[in-house]
Amino acid sequence: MERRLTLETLFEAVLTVLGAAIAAVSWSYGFGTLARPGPGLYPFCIGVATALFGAVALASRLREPARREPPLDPVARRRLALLSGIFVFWIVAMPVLGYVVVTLIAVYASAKTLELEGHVKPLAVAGGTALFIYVLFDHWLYIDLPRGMLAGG
Amino acid sequence: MKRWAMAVLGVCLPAMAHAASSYPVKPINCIVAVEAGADGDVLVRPILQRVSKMLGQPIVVVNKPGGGSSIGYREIHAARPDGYTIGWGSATIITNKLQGVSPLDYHDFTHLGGYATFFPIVIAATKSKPQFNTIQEVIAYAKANPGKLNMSTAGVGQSWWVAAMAFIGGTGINANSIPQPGAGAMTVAQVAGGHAEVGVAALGSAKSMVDSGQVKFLATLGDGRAPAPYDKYPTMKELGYDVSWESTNFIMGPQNMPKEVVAILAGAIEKATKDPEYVKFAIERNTRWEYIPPGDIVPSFDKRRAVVRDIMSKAGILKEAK
Amino acid sequence: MEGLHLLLNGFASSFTAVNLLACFIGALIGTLVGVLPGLGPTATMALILPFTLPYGPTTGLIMMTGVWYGAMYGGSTTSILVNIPGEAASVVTCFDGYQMCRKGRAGPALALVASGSFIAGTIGLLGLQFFAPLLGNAALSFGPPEFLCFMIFAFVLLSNLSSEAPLKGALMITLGLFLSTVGINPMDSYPRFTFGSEKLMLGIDFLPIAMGLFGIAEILSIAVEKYVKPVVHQVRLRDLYPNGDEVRRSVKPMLRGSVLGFFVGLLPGPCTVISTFAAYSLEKRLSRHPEQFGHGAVEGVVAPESANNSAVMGSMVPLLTLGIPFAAPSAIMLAGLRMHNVEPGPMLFTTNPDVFWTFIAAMYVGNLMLLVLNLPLVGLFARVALIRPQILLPVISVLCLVGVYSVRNAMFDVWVMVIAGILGFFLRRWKYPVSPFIIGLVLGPTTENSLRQTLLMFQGDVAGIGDRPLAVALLALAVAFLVFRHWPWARGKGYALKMEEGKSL
Repeated sequence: MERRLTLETLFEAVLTVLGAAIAAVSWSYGFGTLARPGPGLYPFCIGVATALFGAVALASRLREPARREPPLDPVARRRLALLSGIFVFWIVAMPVLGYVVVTLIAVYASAKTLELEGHVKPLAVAGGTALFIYVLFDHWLYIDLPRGMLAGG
Repeated sequence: MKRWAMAVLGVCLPAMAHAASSYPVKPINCIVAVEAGADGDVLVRPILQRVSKMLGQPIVVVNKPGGGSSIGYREIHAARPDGYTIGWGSATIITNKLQGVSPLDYHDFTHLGGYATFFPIVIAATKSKPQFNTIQEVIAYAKANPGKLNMSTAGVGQSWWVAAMAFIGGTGINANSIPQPGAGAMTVAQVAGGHAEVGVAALGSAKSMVDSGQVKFLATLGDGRAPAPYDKYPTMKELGYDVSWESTNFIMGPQNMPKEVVAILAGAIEKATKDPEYVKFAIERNTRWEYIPPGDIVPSFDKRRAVVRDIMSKAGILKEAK
Repeated sequence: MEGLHLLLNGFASSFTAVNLLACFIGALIGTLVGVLPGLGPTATMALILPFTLPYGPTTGLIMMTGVWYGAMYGGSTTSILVNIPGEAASVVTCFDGYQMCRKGRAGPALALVASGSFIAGTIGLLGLQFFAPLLGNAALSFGPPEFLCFMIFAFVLLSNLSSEAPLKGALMITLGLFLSTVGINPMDSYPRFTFGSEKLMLGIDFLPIAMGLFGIAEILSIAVEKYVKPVVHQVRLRDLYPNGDEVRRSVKPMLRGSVLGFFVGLLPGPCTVISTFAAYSLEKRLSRHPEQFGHGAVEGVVAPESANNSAVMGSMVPLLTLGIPFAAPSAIMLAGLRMHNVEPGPMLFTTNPDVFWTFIAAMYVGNLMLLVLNLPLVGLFARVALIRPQILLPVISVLCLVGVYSVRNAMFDVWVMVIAGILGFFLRRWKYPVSPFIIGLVLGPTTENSLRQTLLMFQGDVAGIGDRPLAVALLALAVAFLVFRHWPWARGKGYALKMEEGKSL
């Protein structure tokens, strides 16, 4: 017996609950009158609609025979998790390590995750990318990229 | 290990000291809390340009409109006080707090100088069904038909929106105010298209429409009449209504900026403002040129605030206990 | 005829080295900016504005329009090659452009897009030149009720972009609409769904979401697949340029896209983005093979890209004839003009007519310059698509991260992009159409504002809309489209069957 509770079902459930939450919060913003509509009217309608559609989608899924996509294989799952982790790392570590170091690490790690052979190639690509970003964004466009604590911020 | 640490310090320390003593060493960001092309924006850019030339570093204008300029102000307030982030301000710095839109007001910033004062005008449509030729007609109509006069205004919280509320409160009429996002361009467009019978906007935004006859200039909400050729239009005060609204534009930075940086910036801004070319430009853009040194800004705004509180409470938009 | 005489004058003065150089530099910068994910035309124009000041209003205007225009050219490059929208108006190009690339037709796609943009720019300029004052007045007649009806019409028109799974599409639209309400609303400065967070008060920017849903999601999707080394074949010159069939199929979409884009550009808000969606949707409706859309239909690539180029010209109409900037880049140009004390608007033709005509003449030339610049680059860019994902993906990912940060200097935007990317990955697997979400996000603010303003105008009495011919006409159009969709008796039963089978996004 196939499990009905897939990630997708969960998503639809979340959406339904989200819709209800939106409607509830919008209620507290006030509807005003039809002549002077308040800030809550429009999001309230959206919340109700979302909850409604979510509920219908959920119900129809629970009723029909489960028709699942083949789940991600372990390699795929690992890569997905790793890459997502690298992106998060890039964001989180940036203020501390500065964009050059973080970029180098991120590009190297992504390349290895995707199974680029050896160490020289990933390092070269990482170095090239970091240099390109420096020249273009920092030097030319005056974008204030965080330099990390070591360089004074 | 110790040598490595010393080497690092040896590089960093002089670098940091160097940065402080020769400000500015990198580009400066100026956060302008109104959209590009709006009067406040157009007036501040030439000043920034001159200051940038004097200081030898580019000044990048970043427009952050929204929330009656409160979003931009918040950002300036939250920035590092190292002199590399400064910002533009207008009357909304006083009204934001009084309106309950933001807990910040002009006391929470370092001031670098004021340079020009704007005043809004009242315009009337030429394409709407009821048409008005004088401000008295507008008031009479509004009093006879409460809630039916459609008045286009700027976004809620914006300087000109407060002005419109002041107008409504000061004349005692009951008008239907329809806010348009932004600081004036859309407001003028709505009046020009006849979708609203009157509107309150800055003269700079409405100029081309007034000149071409698409909207009518009815009155100005300033203390004095508009410069020529618009000086034939009365002020509300002349007509006997206690309504006036002005917005002084100034430049500021986050609290606790280092004294040397403030001195450098304020000096440059003063020179830029007093440049005769700029004076000419400001007058051409229909503003009242006046340089206010940084030290005078807080006291003069304090005085203004008392007036503003009064206006806002009459208009019913005061939400602040103090 | 006076217009022609003035235009010739315009050509004469535009042929100064300064103006032509300004156009070229602007277009070059714009193209580069468009190619780079994240950085968009508005920020770039703001950056170069101070540099244009010493050269006078016309030169400044030319350079900045060049940037905006070039960005429309360049934005499609990354959309086609790596499914990353270079900027907001290139999102739609991802749909079919990237599919063409995967089929090995990246070169033809790029070449056709460049040509289409050229044709669109020319058509847009012709429209600007001959019809500007007339159209300016027409743009003024759009008040809140007209905008509201136009939004309704837009939603109906664009609903065909999710025909396969209407329920999922509906969910996506409501999500998009909801996200567009987060932040401080300009109508009443009331913070909604911000929960005290200052970051959220700025609202959720469209570009990070688009880059995440398309770019990052695609990167993740490719990453989890096993990499199959393609049979290395020499990239033949023939493959770099479109074949006869593709060219033939592109002609009408280019023309339609250009005309549609120009008119959409007249409207306020994100007109370039809307123009691309409208053009795509229109092509899909008119096509005999709508099921091809989303899988590399060339019409779905050239029409949007033509539309966004002519939308730029369309957006110049209200700017120059009314002095009213309807889009963010136009606002920057307005600032530039005003700094020279040139007041665009109805008086422009009396006070500074040379600005208008020199501008038009320079843009004709600039348009040609862009084409000449871009066509040879097609070969170079097409080769980028052949780089192995192990190298390409890490580089592109980081460029996206930095690019999106550079727009508002906000890490928050990068978070949004990454989260949208992960979510987008799963949405793809679950076959949720993404375009309705984008439509909801983009059209949301205007819809709500128009709705509230209309209610305010009529004091709640919506029947007042009946008095306004333009609004009624738009509503009628919306109804007509609805009818047309559900009873396609006009096109025969075969069409209806095809629509049923037709896969959508």
